[in-house]
Amino acid sequence: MNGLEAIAFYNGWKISATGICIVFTALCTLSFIISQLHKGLSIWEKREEYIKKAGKLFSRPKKTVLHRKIKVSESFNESARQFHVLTQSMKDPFSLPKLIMLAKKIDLGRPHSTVNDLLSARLIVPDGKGLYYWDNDVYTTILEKE
Amino acid sequence: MHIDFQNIQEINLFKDLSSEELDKVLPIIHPAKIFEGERLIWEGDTPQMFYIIISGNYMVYFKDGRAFTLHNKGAMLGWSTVAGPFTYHESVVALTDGEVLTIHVEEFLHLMQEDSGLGSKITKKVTEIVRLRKAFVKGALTTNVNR
Repeated sequence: MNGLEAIAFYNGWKISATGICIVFTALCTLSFIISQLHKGLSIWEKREEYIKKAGKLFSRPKKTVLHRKIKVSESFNESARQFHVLTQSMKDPFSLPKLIMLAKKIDLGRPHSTVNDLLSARLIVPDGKGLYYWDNDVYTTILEKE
Repeated sequence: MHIDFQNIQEINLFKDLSSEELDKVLPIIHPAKIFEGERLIWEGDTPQMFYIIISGNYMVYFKDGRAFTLHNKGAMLGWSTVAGPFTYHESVVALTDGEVLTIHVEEFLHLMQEDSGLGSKITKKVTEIVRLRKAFVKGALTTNVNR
């Protein structure tokens, strides 16, 4: 058995067809990779930008803190500390008149104007339903300024 | 504190009044100094006065513990003097020293009855304020009450 007959007998045609397919597929894949290489390179060059974007997609949106110019004095900080402790003893959101009443009970000086100052400094923030909460972000900012 | 036409016309409640009408209103308006912690209104009391803020900061609060604060000139305190059921719906306390205009309810209602044109202009303004405040009383605050 010689020639074409032998090739057919030992599956030569099938083997060569498979080989051609493998080579052709590999060449196609390689050419596709080369054609898209410029995109990959530009992504690599801008990798930090993309990492930031991806990070934003998966991270929780941070609460934006309005950094207002707040006049803070020693006595204000002290009052803020005292009222912070008081608000912590109350259920959140808390009632503003109850906070003033509590401050009066424990003899904190000038509770009404202090509450007004805390409202102006946005340490005490209305929840829109008549109750209030303590803004810890603003409080931290004030403490950091000390 | 001196009260004149210009002062009064800046106030939302009296903004639409003519100079003749303002002439009639001026005698029933009395300025008063308010001190920090002073209580102007008690919830449930029979109204005798209502107040218009000139300066200072005030807290309006209710028996259930809810409250809002008023800081703007021209904001009205004690609207239930002119809108039924004629008892104060809220308590009001001054958070800081300030000044208000006080208006005695009987004098005010008498003036409104005497001059229907003036009465309807003021009633329109009061209705606006009452609508906003009533929304708050019912627990549905969605708008600015600083008026």
